[in-house]
Amino acid sequence: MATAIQWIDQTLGLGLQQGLKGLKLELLLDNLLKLPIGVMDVWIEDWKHCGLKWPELTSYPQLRGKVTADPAQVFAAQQLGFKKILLSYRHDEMADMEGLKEALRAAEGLSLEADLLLENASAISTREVVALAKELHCFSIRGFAYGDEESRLEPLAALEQLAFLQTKLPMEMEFHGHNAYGLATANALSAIRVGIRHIAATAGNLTRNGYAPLEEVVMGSKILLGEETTGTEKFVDACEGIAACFDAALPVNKAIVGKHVFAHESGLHVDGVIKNPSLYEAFSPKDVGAVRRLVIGKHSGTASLKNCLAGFGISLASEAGKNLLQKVRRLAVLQKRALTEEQLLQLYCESNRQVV
Amino acid sequence: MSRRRLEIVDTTLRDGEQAAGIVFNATEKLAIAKALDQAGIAWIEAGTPAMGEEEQDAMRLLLAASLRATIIAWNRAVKQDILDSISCGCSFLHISVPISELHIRHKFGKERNWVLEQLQRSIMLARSFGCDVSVGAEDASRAEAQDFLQVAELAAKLGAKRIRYADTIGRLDPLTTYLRLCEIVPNCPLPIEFHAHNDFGLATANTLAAAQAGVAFASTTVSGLGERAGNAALEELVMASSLADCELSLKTATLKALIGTVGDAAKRCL
Repeated sequence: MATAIQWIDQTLGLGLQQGLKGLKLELLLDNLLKLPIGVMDVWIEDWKHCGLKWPELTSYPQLRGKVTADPAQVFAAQQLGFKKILLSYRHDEMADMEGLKEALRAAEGLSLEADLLLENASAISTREVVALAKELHCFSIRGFAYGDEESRLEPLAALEQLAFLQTKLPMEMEFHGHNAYGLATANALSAIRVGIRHIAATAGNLTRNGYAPLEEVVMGSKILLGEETTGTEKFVDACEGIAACFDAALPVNKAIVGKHVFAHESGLHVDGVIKNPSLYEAFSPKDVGAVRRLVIGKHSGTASLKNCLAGFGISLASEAGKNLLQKVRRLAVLQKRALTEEQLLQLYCESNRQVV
Repeated sequence: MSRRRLEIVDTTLRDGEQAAGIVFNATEKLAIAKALDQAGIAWIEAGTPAMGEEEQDAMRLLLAASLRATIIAWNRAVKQDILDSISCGCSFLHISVPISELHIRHKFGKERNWVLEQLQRSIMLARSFGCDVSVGAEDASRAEAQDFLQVAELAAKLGAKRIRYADTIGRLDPLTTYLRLCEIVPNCPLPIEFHAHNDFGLATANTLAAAQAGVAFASTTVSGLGERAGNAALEELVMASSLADCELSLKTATLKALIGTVGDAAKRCL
């Protein structure tokens, strides 16, 4: 049996980068702690300025200090009280391999648990990645994080490349995929498919070029790949709270946690969901703390009207239903929005009066 | 690797509008259809005439606009749906039937043969009026490959132009999409259109994987508007296609205006 996947949060780091402090920062932490997160990455430079200090840090054992490949940064992380660090490194012509090695040596000397993030792994060949890992083999690097900072990966290529690296690299792998083309969730699922158990993500969809949305990768791995996952019941609550900390709102159709993802309006769908929710829902709203809503609007069918009126103890006859439906659709088009329950009741009463 | 061509069938005006709380009036539908046409999209699924007079008036308005794009009307495999579409003057009909065991039993309480008979009658009715037909296989991702191919063969025999493989509840991931369609594409007598939903945030990725497996058409909506978490977003697919050697013949410069037009019309009030 595979070990549980460890989710590596990037939301707190984003909050610190954007300068969140005080109550907002505490709220952000509170919300993140509702989620199944194992590690939280923060740049130590941002941590220095966030107002939280060393004693607070010890109460969050999930925190991992992100540093550049520079020994001075490693010392600073240790001074701040971090036990775990993530060395961020970009491999190109400008790269300072010696600096990286010194930083790794420093981490060893200070007994810090060190992981290495190759930010631009997807921009270089897998052969080069393996060569780099071999060159660093003499250092005690706990985890090797594959970064796709330019969002170059697509899911099938990700499968191939990551599967190859999984067999070649001696360290445990992490996956840090970015979302410029909307493929980060899919790429993270590819990483999970080839056996990578450490996945970076951001709760909600807070930046355009951010990481994979945590709620999508967690629910995707659970429902689509059959991974064991717990702690999903507070996704809606936590993601809404987190978005608020960033003065943002979740898009209503945000997969998994948006307000409308369990709202059904079209006649076929409402009729189906009443008969059996699994016809039009991939999982139960309860799994993520969401609530199903049946909306009356332009696309409603008679089953929706019957269902809604039944809530008021009214049983709608089929012929009356057809007439009422026409009125409902006309009103929805006219007002360019869904109907409230009161509006439906009013239309129902009006048409009844005409009959009498 | 040679570049694959992927043709877009945009359904912003049908599946997009089906998102809870969204209503496009006829004028807005026309503006969106014109913007889609200008972007170079050749297929526009524009609505469901069976919904009533307002929708039928909108369809007539679109058909009268003489766009280069083909206007497609969405139908259940129901006689009156087909007649409503024809009475609007539609000449390209999409006819949808559920094909998973779950949908056939729990939605209709019927057998597979009943569904196939309904489909056969509906296609023949549409063809008797000289209409072109595309067939929709709803919930295909929860059906067996052979059930999809059975529908495709029937549809091909009756003269349908293409068949839609619908991942109705967004239940696929890219590898599964790729493997399934690699199995289906070479055995399917009709060109396939892949229709993704975004329930797990995978609609774009799955559409890309379907294209990599050789599917020729993709359903999209502008900004990913659609039921629940929406459909594959046209603009995202345009961007992501470059990563998979995939070519969409679109005028990308017009996309921004298109997104604006849809955004204005899709203000949600619930």
